Amino acid sequence: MIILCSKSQPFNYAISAKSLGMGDATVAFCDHWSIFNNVGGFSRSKSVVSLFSIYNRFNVSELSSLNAGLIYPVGAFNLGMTVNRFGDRLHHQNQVGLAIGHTLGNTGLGLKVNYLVFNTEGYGSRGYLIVEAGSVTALTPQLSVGMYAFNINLAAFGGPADNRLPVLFRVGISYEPISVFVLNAEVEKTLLFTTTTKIGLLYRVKEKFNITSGIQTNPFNYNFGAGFDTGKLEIGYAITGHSALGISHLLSVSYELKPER
Amino acid sequence: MRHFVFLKLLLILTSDLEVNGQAEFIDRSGDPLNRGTGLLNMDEGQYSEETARHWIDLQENPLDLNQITKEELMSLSLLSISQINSFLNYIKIHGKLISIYELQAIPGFDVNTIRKILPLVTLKPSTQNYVSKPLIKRIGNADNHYLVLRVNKTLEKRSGYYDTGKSRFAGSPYQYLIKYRSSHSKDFSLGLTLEKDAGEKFTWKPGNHQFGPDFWSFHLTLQNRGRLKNLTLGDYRLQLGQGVLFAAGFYPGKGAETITTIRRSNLGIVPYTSTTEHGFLRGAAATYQIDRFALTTFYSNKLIDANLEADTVVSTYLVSSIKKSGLHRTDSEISQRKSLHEEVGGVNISYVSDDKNLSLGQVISFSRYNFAPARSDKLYKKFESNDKLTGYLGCNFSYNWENFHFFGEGVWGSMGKYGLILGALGSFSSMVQFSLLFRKFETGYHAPFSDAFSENSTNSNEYGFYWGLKLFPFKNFTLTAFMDTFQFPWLKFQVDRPSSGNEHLLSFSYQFARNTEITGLLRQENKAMNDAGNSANLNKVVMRQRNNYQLSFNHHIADLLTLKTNLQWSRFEKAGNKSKGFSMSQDLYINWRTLRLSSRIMLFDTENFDNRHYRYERDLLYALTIPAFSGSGYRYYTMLQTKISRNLTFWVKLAKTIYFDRMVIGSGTDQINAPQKTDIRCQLRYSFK
Repeated sequence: MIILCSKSQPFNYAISAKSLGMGDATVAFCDHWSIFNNVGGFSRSKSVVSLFSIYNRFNVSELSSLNAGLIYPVGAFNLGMTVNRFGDRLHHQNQVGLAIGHTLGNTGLGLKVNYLVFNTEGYGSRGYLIVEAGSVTALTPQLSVGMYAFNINLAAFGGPADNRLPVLFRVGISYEPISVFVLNAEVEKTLLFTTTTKIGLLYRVKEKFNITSGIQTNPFNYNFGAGFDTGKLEIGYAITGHSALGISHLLSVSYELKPER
Repeated sequence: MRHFVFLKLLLILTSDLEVNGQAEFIDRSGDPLNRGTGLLNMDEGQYSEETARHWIDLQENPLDLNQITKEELMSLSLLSISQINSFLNYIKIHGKLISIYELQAIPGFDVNTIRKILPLVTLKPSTQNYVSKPLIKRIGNADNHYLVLRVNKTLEKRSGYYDTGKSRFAGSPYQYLIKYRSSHSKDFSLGLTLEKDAGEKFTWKPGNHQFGPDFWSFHLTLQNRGRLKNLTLGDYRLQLGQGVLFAAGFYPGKGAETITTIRRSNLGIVPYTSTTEHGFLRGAAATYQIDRFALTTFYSNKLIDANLEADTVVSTYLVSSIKKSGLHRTDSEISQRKSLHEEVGGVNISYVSDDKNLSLGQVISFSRYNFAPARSDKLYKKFESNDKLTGYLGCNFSYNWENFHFFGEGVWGSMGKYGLILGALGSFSSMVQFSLLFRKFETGYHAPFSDAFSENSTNSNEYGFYWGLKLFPFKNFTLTAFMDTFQFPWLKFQVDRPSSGNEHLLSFSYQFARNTEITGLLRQENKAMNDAGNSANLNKVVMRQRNNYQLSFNHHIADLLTLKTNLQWSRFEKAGNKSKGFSMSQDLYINWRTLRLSSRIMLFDTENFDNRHYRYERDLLYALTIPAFSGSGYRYYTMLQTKISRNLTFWVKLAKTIYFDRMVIGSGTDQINAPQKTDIRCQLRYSFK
């Protein structure tokens, strides 16, 4: 379980159904959920948006997480806040993040500062500051490139050098040749772990309905998802399967509180 | 003629370069290596400080486009033969250039080419009354006239600083550099460099040839005094022919640029301004021009570092090795300092035809040491000469025919061996360029200042063929490739068998709009090596394969901000054992008013040193950093450059590597007993202009 948690990168995994459905290959794919997936992409949202998702791993309730976020555009900048909770009464991790995003030319840039608290009953709690940053560049209206780095301040548990919180980089592209189809691909490297390659597809069946699918390597996961999106309200559901550990479920909802000005 | 002037004006006004003045897109400060040349974009550690100095020198002394020669245009390594011919033809037909924007009117010159050469050229007319001023005033008023002060320190202590006994470092962990320079292109150059490396000691011991800092270098060069084309006193290098005998050392080896870097330029005497403490000449040199002939004579007399062993039979010393590190920190390093006397001299005659298409050179030279090299019982050193005095006779040529260029050099040494380079490069059309090179350096051939094109680090025991190709299949897309095969007819260090190998490269670059570029590179090298180092007298030799793949993305956002993402994979295979490596980095550069911020974060995870990844880094002006990364860790650096006043520029750089897989870095006296290494560097540059 400890190994599982350390690879799961505290609150740095797919948070939305669209993202999980596409195998978390969303470093260059921009939507409201970019505030979780790649903070470089969330400056594109120009309305006040609230986000909420629940993620249950392998049907084990102790491995569930709750995530919530708020995006608030102020002038040329986007401000945002995220809250995550993972675990149960005996061990839980809570994280609060403050994000700022800005679009320069065809590039979105973002920075997020998180405060993560680990709490284990009988062992007390401890907090860490984690900085993450990212960018998404639209090379053409169809093709974007994204880059994301998590824990660039190298927050550590203390003790020997290998006891650090995960240090992670992601680079990828998002290609949308036609308006109903998106292809995403990325590589992710967590220091001391094998490189993960991810590929994701999104198909808009009807204007408001989409289906997603994706795969990940190292470990191998397959992903499927479906979503309903009116522009104002978005509801999505996705599953991801691991050959040994089983299936995980994610439900996400976003709602535009105040439309674009 | 009037029509023509009108056309020129029209061109200037309708230019698709920014018309806000030249300064807008010529940026002579910042990162002089990567910008413009593009050669350093992605490569292994084949660049020396000399390469860096050469490019900075070109930028500090830009060449006047209206007086530039064919040889100088080729020495930029940025233009194809057809572009050079087209440029010279344009000047011949239309007369001197009026504006730099006129470059766009030259057939074959695109915006990218112009952008690359602009930092290295100028159109400033050299005024007549400039030369009439006395030299001392010209030195005082030169555009390129500065003083640089630099301090470096590694925060973590290496074990040499607290060891006791012989391996203790004599001096402080600070590295100091003082550099003074005043120069004007084609008129004069004056320079003084003083350096103390980390661990070395400031002392005044005239008996040991030490006067304060460990390294001193001085030169004074006067140019174009009538028939006396060049007179240099002090430290200098020679770049003759293809470098089989004398090379200035600033040409990069095999890399993503597959055409123009293959040929060396015949530059003659080059002032020495680098801090590399070996490989230069110290004495005097002069070039005298009579019509189409130029006569260069040179003489050098200096002490170099060597490891000497006593020969008890005839009570003298023998040279077991020549030391090139330039480090004098421990007792043994200090005892090897300036222990060998080296004398070099010679004469070179060169001829350039009236139409500049043919040039020929003939050189005769000698090098003499006061102690002879020791005979080694190592089999791979069997053919090494052990003469104190060696004479050389060489000749070189280069010939231009339409859009093809042929070049070569052959040198015969009195040890009875020769070295040879023959090459060709050219353009089949504006879309296809090629290069071809054959080299042969006999086993036992050795010239102490050679640096011709080769796979081995010295020009010896090798022959091989190189093919290079550069394609522009469609707009904004460049494809380059090379294939190199080589044979080593005798044993090499850690290769106990005559062996052969090959290397290939394929790279592309695609420019999305003006401000975004994607580049990729595949490189494979197959070579032989001992299966288990040097464990036995004769070891089993196996093939090893090294693969390297890179992908990088460059994006400039409105001149303010540049983002650079780089991915690198490697595979290494030796006798069935496979290993791999991966690294990933993100750069962020900000230009804001007089402030420049350069920063990078990087992750690397490679299984071993065979999978090390080289990454070029921005550094203080005049410094060059291409560190290699292996193991697992995190690297970051931040460098701030700011102009404090009109004359004063300040740099500060903080760089740190943190290893996740070890508790100790390095070994021996350089060992750091911590999993991290932090470097701090500061530099001040005062410009007298």
